[in-house]
Amino acid sequence: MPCRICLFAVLALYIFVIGAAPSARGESPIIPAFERFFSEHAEVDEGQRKGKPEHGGQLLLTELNCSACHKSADYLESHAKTGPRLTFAGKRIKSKHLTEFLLDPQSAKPGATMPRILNKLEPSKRIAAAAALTQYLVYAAGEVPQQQLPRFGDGKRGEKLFQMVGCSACHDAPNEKEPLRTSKPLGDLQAKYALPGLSQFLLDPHAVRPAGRMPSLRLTASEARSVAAYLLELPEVATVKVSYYEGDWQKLPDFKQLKPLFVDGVDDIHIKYAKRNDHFALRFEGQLSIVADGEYTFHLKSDDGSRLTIDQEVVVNHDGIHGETSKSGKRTLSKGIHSVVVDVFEQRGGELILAEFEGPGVKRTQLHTAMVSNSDKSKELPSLAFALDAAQVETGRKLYASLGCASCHELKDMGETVAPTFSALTPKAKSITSLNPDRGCLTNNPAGPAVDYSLRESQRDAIRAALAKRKSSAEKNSAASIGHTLASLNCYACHQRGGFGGVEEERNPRFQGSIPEMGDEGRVPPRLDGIGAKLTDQWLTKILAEGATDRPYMLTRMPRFGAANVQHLHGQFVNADKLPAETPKVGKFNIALPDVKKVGRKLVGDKGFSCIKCHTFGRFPATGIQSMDLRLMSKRLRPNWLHQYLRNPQIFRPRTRMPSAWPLEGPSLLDEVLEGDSAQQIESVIAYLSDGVRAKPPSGLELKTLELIPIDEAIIYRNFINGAGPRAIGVGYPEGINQAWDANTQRLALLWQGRFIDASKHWSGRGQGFQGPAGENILQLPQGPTVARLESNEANWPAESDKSLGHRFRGYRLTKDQRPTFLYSIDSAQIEEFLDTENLSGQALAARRFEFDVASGATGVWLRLAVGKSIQASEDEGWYSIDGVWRTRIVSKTKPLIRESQGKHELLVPIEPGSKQSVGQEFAW
Amino acid sequence: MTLWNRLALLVLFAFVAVAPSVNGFAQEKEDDYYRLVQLPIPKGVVLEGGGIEWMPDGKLAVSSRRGDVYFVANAGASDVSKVSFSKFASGLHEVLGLSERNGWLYATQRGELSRLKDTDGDGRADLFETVSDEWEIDGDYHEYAFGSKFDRDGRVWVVLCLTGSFNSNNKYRGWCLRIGENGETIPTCSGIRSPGGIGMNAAGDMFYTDNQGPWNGTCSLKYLRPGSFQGHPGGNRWYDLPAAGKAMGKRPEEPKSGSRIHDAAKRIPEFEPPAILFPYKKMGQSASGVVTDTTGKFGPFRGQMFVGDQTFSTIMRCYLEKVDGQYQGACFPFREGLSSGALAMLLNPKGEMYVGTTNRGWGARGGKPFSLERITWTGKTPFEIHEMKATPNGFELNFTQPIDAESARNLSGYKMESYTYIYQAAYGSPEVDRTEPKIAAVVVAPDRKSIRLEIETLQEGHVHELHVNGLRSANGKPLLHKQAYYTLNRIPK
Repeated sequence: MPCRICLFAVLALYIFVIGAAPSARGESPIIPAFERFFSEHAEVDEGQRKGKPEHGGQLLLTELNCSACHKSADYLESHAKTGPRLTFAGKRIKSKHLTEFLLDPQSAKPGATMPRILNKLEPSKRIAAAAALTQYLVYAAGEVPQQQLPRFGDGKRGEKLFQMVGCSACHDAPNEKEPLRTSKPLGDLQAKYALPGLSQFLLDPHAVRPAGRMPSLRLTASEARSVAAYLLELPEVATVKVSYYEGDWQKLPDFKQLKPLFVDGVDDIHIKYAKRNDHFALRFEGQLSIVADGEYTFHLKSDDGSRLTIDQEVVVNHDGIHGETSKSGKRTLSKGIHSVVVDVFEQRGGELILAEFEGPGVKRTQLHTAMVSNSDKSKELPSLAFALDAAQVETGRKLYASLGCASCHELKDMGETVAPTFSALTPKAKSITSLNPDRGCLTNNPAGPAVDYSLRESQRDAIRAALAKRKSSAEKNSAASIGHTLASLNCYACHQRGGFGGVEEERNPRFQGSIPEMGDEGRVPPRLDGIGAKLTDQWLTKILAEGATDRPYMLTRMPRFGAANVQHLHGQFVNADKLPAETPKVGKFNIALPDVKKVGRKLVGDKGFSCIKCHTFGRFPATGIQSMDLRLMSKRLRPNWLHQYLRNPQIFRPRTRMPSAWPLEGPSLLDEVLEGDSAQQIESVIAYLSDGVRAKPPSGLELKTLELIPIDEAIIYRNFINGAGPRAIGVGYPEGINQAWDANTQRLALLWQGRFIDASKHWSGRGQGFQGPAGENILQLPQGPTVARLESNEANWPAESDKSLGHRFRGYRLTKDQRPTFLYSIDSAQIEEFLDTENLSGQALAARRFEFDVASGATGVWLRLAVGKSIQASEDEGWYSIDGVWRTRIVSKTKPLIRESQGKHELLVPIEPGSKQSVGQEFAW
Repeated sequence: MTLWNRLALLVLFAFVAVAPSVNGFAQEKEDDYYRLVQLPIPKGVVLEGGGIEWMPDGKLAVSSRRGDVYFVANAGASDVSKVSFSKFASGLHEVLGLSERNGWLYATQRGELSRLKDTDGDGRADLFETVSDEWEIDGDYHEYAFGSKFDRDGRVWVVLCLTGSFNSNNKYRGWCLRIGENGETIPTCSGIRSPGGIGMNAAGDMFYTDNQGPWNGTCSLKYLRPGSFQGHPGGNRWYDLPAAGKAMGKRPEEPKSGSRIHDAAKRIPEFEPPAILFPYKKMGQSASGVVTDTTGKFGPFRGQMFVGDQTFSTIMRCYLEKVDGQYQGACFPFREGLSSGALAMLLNPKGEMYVGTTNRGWGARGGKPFSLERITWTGKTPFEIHEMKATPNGFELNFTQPIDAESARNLSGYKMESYTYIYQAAYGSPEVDRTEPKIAAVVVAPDRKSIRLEIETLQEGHVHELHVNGLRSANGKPLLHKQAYYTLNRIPK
């Protein structure tokens, strides 16, 4: 076994090096709450308390699992941080790291709470012992870690998750230049983990570390993989190969005859990989993973042609030049991997490719989500294979027992849990109350049966203080104090309670919310002061067992710590927490319960206190910020707490945005309801909300349509109109024709028939977003200004109205019945534009009438009346057809010109300088 | 304890026990001095008041968030059934500012300043002219534009909210522009976040309200000194525009997040610190309209400013003074109980205050979706702190009525604390750096109309929150509002 000798040589060198220069942060165990509140570095923020030394010592006693050897028969045992389960350690952790960690935990993982257990042995025997223990752990696991590479994009997603979901409440990012003293160091994760091992750990940390100090952030499997990929900085594997070609084709080219301009690894099928807008083709290739036998339907939506091929057979052929249209095809596939190719080409105009599929157990989804990597690059990663040696395993087994590993760690050897035993190296230790504070593990260089935790002086002092306190006061705490639990689980990193904890100033920017306007309430986790008097028993149980998702706007997740580790807080919170005042008595109602609920419903709605302005109600969003779902309130909150909170929110949540409708003194702000009796009003709200998900939505939630209906005169609606821009001027005419005119570019943007527009989007709530026409047959007119000055007949039409080119919107004039004449200008050229929907001839549905007043010398003014792929003069006198979609007739003393420009046809009318000129344009569509 | 003290205590107890029935002062209400009346908006009309103007013919013009402009005749009638509404214009885009000049009604719409005229005399506007559209919008609802009345130079000032109230994605978001009748548009101030209203003080200087959020620890009243930076760096990119550079000079230094307003103002010469901070939740939550009483017909507060609050549905009162040439001053509660959130405000030449309200999108006390309300002085003078002025070693308080010297001299009748806010990129700020300045002495002026508080540790840059609980008027009344909040940007020398 030459490599074993090699390994030993390397390790010997390693020990030498690290022995000489221990890393600065790797000198002692790091327990974040100890560092923050009890250590020599403890810095107390404004309004915070500093911890007492004996409490810091008690924290260390549980976090270092002292009671594993020194029996105490109280919370030090029941709340101790037991060591990780080791049964599958060999599968989870790289063997090299295991060996290094055993030799010197602080060097291999700075801040570790694992003692230097091998110090019990002669220095010369330690390297061999570490190797033997590693052999034993790999043997017990029966496997070594698997190598695997993350998917394309995992690292980026992982980084975002790490920053967002709460990892950074306790850990610094791996690349953090100024790590915080109160952060638990992550150590060299690349040395410790391969991707599957870390992903699995992040997915379910309690399976390995049941003591809950590392909580579950309730990541999904793919989230866990992404975070692991980010932490391990592994190269990513693309799932889709894209090849890009350029050329002028009428149908899909023969790709075999072409040389791609580039090939790249990506993770989706998307037109964005094209490098220009026209005259190109893309080929996407990859492996489709099918998990169940059956018939699958594939959909292609493209502009222009596209094709989908599976296992060399064409399944969807959607070739040729066309607009944005869809085509589907079916194919029966067996479970397994299938090769898939998606091709698309673009002649000119719009461009799109969307490839989707559906089938047994698969809802319609984009194809790339089911594509997997075809090249197993993970094979190129260094092998983690490990040669077992039976004699070494046996040595390891004996060491495991004699060193007392089983006192802290669970390990199943052949299915049997290894029980702790006493040995010469691990004799029965004294009970915690009879310890000498200057001996054993608390000496500077512990030896013999004592173990070396690499404690700092401040940590030893704290433990001594705790031991002294225990002796003197003979306190028989059966349960850890609330503060002890909050410190050991580092709840204080996020939450404040009793003058301790809450988000540290340096860590504060790491907490983010999805609604910035909610301020700190929307991103910083709530205080826990008074929580036992606030949350119902049902909700306390739920949150302690599962974590919480009640505040969807808060991106930091309330994690799961494991019911066994936190459930005792429930009773402790309830016992400790009292409401600040007497709850006002609720007088007997003179009305029956259903009517009480009706009153509550009114108060919650827009005719009452408009709680729904800020709070969501089930599926109904609020009109302002999206605060917590009202239907949860009665389930979450104790009625007495609600009674007091609603009277005076500031007492409970200083600086909350939550207003109070019920003054502490005097009647409710709505004094005509229940005679202004605040207590009864609040009670009615509680009664109403106690119906939970069955509560009937309050008034003001459902967006009523506010359709604008022109009857006797035109209606003007200036707002964000879809297709006409943010400065749109919508005009609805009584004749059932409507236009939307874009004041930004001075152009007629849309014409449509039928109903005008629904104003509810802009007139309910804050008015977010663009509203489209309510009617039908919507005709989209060309982008860009209607009138422009061109250098020559060949010059391109300007894409935008440009103030520097003299374009100005000047307003409008209204007729008696509110029909607008738009006024605009280019330099000195004045233009008036009126849409006539009344006085029409023949087939016209609407007509525009332009009046130009152009000074002499203002040459090159043109009016553009249509743009299309093709504009054809039709047989009818003066009519043109545009793309076969709509028709127009021009009435002008100057002759219209059809020209080809930028791949399109344009219908222009020249405007002569030095005179007034009228132009008419009729529309039929 | 001397016998006298004992007796005094006994008397006091007796007094407290029977106070409500005997004394009557406990019943003092704002309503006794300033009466609030809701004008009867016709059924079917949704008038979420965004701008208000007093027309030369004695009508009130009110614009709405829905884009209508109504004329209100007999708005001041004591019998509100005589008040009548007529629609002047509609179809505009969220009008948050109205100002009349030379026969035109200037309306600040979301995307432009327009002027409206009824050319044929039928009572409805028929000519809508774009005066300036030098700023841009992109469809974000938060990109509001608030317009002022015409200033002494014949210009309307427009303050432009940031995109989403956080960034400046479009031209001049986060800026103040001045616009002449001819459309000439002058970039005037940068650093604006989310305005709620704009108006002039008695001297004709322009102020606006900004709201709690990034770089604004709490809501405030800010002085729009031309050329100044108002605190939020989001819109500073527009200094690169030639017109902005020409009017405003070079881009100011980027503020440092986590500092204090006071320190930033020392470091960044362009930065104009808020003249008055409205402590969050104590003095409202969403500062809005701004008006000044220049008539003297609105009670004893001639020359003072009044600021609305949308969330609290209240009107606050502001006293401003100049220290070292810079505006600062105090705010006081004035009137609560509007039936919806205050937005637009006007004080007409008759001394009638009008308030347009709304709770759409932002909840407000009062329970009504919108209203148009009139506040008038009843002619009775409330016992109030009239002015609060900074002195080199404390504050001088003037009162609207003579005071009882004995109660004024009792130090335990005052409570003062000071605090400021973090000047930071994150949303809002708690009150920080809290101190309790010690009131060392109270000096009552011989005319018994004012007092001087001598304070040992004035905190430059802090809000000084004062509660005057013990003071009584000469005829025994407590103050109608006991709180005052002075923003001490500078201590006078």
